[in-house]
Amino acid sequence: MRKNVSIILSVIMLLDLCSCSASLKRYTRVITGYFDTATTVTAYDVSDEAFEEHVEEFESLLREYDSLYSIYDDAEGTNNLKTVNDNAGIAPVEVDQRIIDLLLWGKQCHSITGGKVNICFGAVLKIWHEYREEDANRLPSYDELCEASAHTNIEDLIIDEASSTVFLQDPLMRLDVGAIAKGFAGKSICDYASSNLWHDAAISFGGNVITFGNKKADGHSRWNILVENPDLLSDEEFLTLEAADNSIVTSGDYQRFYIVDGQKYCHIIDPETLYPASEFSSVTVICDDSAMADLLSTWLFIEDQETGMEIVDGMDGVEAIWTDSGYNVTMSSGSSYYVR
Amino acid sequence: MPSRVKTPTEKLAVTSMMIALSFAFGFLENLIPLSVGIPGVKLGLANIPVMITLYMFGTVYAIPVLIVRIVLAAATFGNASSFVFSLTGGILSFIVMCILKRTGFSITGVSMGGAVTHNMGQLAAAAIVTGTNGLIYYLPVLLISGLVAGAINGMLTGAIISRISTKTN
Amino acid sequence: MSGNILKFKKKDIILAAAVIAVATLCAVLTPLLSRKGEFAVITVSGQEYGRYDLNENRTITVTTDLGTNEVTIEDGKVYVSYADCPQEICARHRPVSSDGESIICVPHELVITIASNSDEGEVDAVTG
Repeated sequence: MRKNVSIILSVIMLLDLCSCSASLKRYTRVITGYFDTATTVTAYDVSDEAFEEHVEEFESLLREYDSLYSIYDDAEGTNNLKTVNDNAGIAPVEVDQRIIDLLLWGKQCHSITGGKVNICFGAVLKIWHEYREEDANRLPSYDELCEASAHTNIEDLIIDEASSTVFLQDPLMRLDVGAIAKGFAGKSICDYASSNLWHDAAISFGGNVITFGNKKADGHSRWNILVENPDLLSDEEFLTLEAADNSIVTSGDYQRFYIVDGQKYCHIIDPETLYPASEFSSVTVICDDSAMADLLSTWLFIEDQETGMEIVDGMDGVEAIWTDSGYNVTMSSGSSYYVR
Repeated sequence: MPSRVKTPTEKLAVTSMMIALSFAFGFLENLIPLSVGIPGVKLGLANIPVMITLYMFGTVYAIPVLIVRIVLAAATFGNASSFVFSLTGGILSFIVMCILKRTGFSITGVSMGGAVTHNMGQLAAAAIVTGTNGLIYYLPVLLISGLVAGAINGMLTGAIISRISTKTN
Repeated sequence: MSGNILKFKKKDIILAAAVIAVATLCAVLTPLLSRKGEFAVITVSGQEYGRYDLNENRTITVTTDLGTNEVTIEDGKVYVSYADCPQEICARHRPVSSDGESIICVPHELVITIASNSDEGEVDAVTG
């Protein structure tokens, strides 16, 4: 009998290990149809029903922001940015506070970047957009671009906070918030989600990643965020970053582009040259604020390496990873903390 | 010396010394990291005074040595989670040591059982806290390392006890 | 019983042997238990369409009202070999093979995600 004690003890020891069950389950959902991209939600939730319910609420927020910030489609029953564009030079448009907030942030972006990121650049971006969609192996003429660029003065965007109206003074001016809208909306949506829907989630708004809480909902594990390999022909996994309560945003030339005479022309336009920025194939920015991360990724994509590094070094809690057109990687000094 | 230790006051004094010694051994071990890339692999020298007390004065005196040492160590070097880990491992291993001692295992056997259970307890606590079962990979290593460390400690403790007293209670 | 506490007994050996046996058993069993059953999960409009073993080379043609995508599994990697969506972004996507990676075809609401049974090193989100 006593001889068996050791064996019984061994069994008890093993049973100790079986007591680890987590009550939260991991869920992933891809939501398509908003912000012209796919939104992927990975979150920990208590049950299938709870997750369904939360995802529905999340999607309705996403839908609202998308329709408010759209410049291509009319919003049902309310004014949106397309309405503002359509009324350029005609009349101020009364808009939702969320539009006012975005446009005020847009003005701030203009002053932070010295005009490198300009939400009033729609007239020029529209030309590039049309040529890109047409994909007809030709470039817009410089004259055409120059003419459009005469209608990009941010001072012509009149925001009246008191009466909640927005007016484009210049009839030919068009808003294009593509560089900042996803980050700004993502921030607002995730602020809501983190206090009302999930404690732990990693959400990618078409590559704009926002994380809050922790992987495995365990209070300490960081999320694994894969940075897409900008070299589309490469089979290699590029880089995995670890994040917790961070936002990671990448601007790349490999998703929306077209090719003219073997030369790649991407969707990010340098307001100075009026041509697509071509120094980098991708720039990834890590910082706490998703709106700032989104802005910076576009800004750094346009600026050269040296200027970009100065910008990052001059900011607190911001890291960046540049991949040039030859796929050489440069990282800011604190990036290694995030690289897995 | 211990043969002369009879009154509760004397026992209390020696027990306090054991607490201090246990704490010091734990500290000493922290200074010499036995790095094998796997958390939890260590000698467990701090358990020696616990066992000495257990064998000389019995369970009632050994429990404070164990608990106070863990509290002291956590307050000095650790954090909340390391406290939970040590406490879980410590209590589990202590219970097993008492059972093994009563069922007639040698001091080496008691020490081995204690060390192995200590590691299991820590691993179980870690698994619960992190919510992963990936830690199970550590299990074989922690079992064997516990066995070896326990055997060494047991023999050391045996040698110490036989030198400080000819007769134990 | 005092005095012989130092003597190594038979039951001590049994204890040690039992622990060693359990350790060996665990070392042998854990790799078997956690075998990585990696597969590709295809979802269309949020509904799971099917899951496919990555070790099996094959081509899956997904045709819905929205359009057609041809998904190819080759040497443990998955890519979209043909798509009739406007910009063919999904077909230009490099082959994926790591846990949590995905290829998304927005116009066809088609998502290919790599999944496996362990979530330790799994990718939680993709930027870019």
